[in-house]
Amino acid sequence: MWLSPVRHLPRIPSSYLDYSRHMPKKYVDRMKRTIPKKVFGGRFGAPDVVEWKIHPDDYVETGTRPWEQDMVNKNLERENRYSQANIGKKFYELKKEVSKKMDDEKWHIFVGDRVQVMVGKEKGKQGTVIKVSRDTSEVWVENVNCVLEEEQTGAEKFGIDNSFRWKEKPLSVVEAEVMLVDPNDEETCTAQWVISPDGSEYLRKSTRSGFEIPIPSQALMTYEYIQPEKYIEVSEKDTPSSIALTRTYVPKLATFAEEINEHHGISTSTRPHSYWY
Amino acid sequence: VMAVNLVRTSTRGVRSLNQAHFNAPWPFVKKGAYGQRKIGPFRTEKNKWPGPDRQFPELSPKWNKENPAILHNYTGVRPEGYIDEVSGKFIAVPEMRTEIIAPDLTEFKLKPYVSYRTDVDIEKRRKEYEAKVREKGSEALADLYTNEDQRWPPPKMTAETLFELVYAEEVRRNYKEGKYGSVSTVSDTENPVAKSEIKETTR
Repeated sequence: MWLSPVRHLPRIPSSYLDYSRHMPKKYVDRMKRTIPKKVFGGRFGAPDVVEWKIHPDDYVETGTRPWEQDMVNKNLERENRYSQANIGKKFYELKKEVSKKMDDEKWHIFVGDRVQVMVGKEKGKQGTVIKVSRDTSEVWVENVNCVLEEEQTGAEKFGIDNSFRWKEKPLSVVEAEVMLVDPNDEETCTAQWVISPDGSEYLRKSTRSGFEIPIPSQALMTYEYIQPEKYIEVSEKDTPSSIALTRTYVPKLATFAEEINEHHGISTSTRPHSYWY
Repeated sequence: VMAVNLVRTSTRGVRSLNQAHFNAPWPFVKKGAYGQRKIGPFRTEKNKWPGPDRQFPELSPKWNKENPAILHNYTGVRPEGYIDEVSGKFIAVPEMRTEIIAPDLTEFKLKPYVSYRTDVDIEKRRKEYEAKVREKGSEALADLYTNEDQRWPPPKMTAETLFELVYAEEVRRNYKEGKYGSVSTVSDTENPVAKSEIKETTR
């Protein structure tokens, strides 16, 4: 069998680049409320009956992250409605929406990229991506596709003059409303992930020209750091990298029981037999 | 009534088509069986069923009246003594008292979390090592030219490695000197070389 000298296969950047990539899945699920309310197990081999807070099939992905306040309120409301329907024995139809999430291989747009709008009255306009939603395959472009929005809803009730501001609305990538711009010729292009010659990473290359389109540094930003190298360690909480990576294991020819004996100063004359097979 | 339910199971390993051999995976429940003939869970057991109105109530041993009276004051805390049967008084036993032993962590370097820079360092080491493997052609060669502590993934501890660390040097020396026989007994791990009894044999 021919084995490649490099065993590690690089990951496609679109599979992990996201500003919330360090959010634990458990927390995200809790905020989505797609967690079991109660699991009825012990059914003698029959599958568990699971009662959900929000049924996973009922959850609708949106561009807003589940931990943002609006989304938390909406999900709690939905959870309440679902539970009321269950208690009241009412029929409750699950949404069962088809996911619009694109495959990692097909996704090429990141925060900080230059894109061009392909539809609507702003067709042909170019702008920088300020926000990306993988779940719905949508992109927000700076100062493009804006609507006038109230700055504070219900401000007139308190006798304050309401002010308005321009707010970006999402543009779908699945429906080809935006396209990536090749920085070499400033024209729209499709891109593809090509493994680099040394096989250490995936590069984003324009299909038309073959030139590499480097991933902008803004795409590396997360809640924790702007760039991974510039992460500021918290002295009381974070184990520094140098200490976390030190090898402290000392190999020793002894079984676990023997090591414990030695630690407590118990001397035994016999060693377990070893056999050759 | 009982005789009907008794099934004669064969001892010869012959399968019977009797329905007793084809049980449902969960208890068979007949809904609304309140009459004289009751099959399935009874009224009291129905509390345990899942359902929209009445979920599984965790039967608290403290509040359930059907439980023995001893459990009525149950708090889930372990007793630190016992009630003497003769005097009826509670006797505290110091050995039964829970003791919290916390280690002294003054010189301890690890913190509850790991810095995000660790990922960067790991990626750096991995790239360096892979470049070395590509340059030298094989992993075994690349290992010779890289610091073992700087390798990623770190070298695996195999039986071969342990053999190399403990026995190999002695075996090689003996081979050069032409000595064959039993290597140092495993019990003298402190100084395996000095205590070894090597029989000199001819080829």
